[in-house]
Amino acid sequence: MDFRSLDDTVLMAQIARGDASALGELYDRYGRLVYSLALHIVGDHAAAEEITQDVFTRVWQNASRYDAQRAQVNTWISRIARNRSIDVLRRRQARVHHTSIEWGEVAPDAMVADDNPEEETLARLRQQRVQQAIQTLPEAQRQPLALAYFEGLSHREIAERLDQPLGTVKTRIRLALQRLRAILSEENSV
Amino acid sequence: MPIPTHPTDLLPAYALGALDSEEAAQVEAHLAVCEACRTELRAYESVVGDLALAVPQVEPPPALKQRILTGVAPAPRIEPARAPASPRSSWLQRLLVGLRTPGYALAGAGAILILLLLASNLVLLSRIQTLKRQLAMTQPLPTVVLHGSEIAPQARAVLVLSEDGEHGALIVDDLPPLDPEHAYQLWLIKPDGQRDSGAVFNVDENGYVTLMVKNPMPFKEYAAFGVTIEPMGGSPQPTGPNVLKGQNLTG
Ligand SMILES: [Zn+2]
Repeated sequence: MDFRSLDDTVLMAQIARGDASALGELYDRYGRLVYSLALHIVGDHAAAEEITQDVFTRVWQNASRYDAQRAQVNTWISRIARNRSIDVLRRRQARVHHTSIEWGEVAPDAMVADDNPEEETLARLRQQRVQQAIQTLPEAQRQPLALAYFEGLSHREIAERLDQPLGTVKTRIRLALQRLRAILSEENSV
Repeated sequence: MPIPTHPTDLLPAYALGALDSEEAAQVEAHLAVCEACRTELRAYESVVGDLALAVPQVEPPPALKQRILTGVAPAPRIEPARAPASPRSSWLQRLLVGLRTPGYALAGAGAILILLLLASNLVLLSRIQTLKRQLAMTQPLPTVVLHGSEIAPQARAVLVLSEDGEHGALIVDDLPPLDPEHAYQLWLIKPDGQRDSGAVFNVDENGYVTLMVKNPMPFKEYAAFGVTIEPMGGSPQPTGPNVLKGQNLTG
């Protein structure tokens, strides 16, 4: 079976049956995403590696519980990666308080060449769309969104951190996600 | 009971995990009964999932993939419980002595043995002894013996099947450990020569492993079984040299 031709959902079914090579293919698709997110949140390579290993081990163990009706595979994996990274971040912040995590700089040439240029181009386009969509948000919305997304802070915690009224924070986060949804769903339908 | 209003404004923050626990509980109670809001939520969850792409993409170290795949190796990593007295006579070889009968029928029965074979090896030997006694008078358990090819002549494996032929466990002994770039792969060979992958595995430093075989079809549908050396992670079809092979005489 050529895994490369399989869509994510079929691949997940194969992983649920205990096929380690299918997990290898899933890693080829999402390993960089998971690693990059973990690295951005926790800020060090060793911890990012550990998180990535943990995420794919969880995928392996929980593949049979993946429900395609509820989430796309990339949504599901990035949620696990984000949650694990925030867990690690919280344990560290209990010791050291560091500055808030911001959205990354867009670095179009940061991508490494792959042996499948077509797929690579699609992934890069999608990434650019998301990055550009975030850039269209006013800074006043981007900042609370970053605190919620990267640090897992609640409305209340964000309001305290930014010294803003709770209602303002709630509104800004809601507007930010509504706007991103509008932009990204428009482009998904292209 | 009043019709609950849709908590539409709370769904984006719920997808993000930014609600406090009280609000989140309210949203969850509503989601449990409202398909429209579940659909709405999935759209926001998808947006939140996409945010992972907004961070600078960094290539993970090349060795990480192998480490992950080794960590989830199909077989439980278990210490072989060898009898210290005879170093080259493993329990498998002793077991195989009992198999040298036409048709390779092992005295035994049921999927229980297969589960036992996958259980902790520390207790395996004694359990197999007990089992052999217990099952001596019951139905033979179908097995297939795989013999080492010329590149691994000392290697042996036995595929033990459940009575209904739906489940199978592979026990491998004396197969040389491979470098991290390669893995062994079990092939289930159909009468027309088509092959299904049954497992991708590595052996421990003693060349030993037990594992559950993934069979797309009942075992009686296969004419033979083989093991080849493949790139780490396995291949869609065999590409490397054969190290073990056995005809299926159980059908
Ligand atoms: Zn509703």
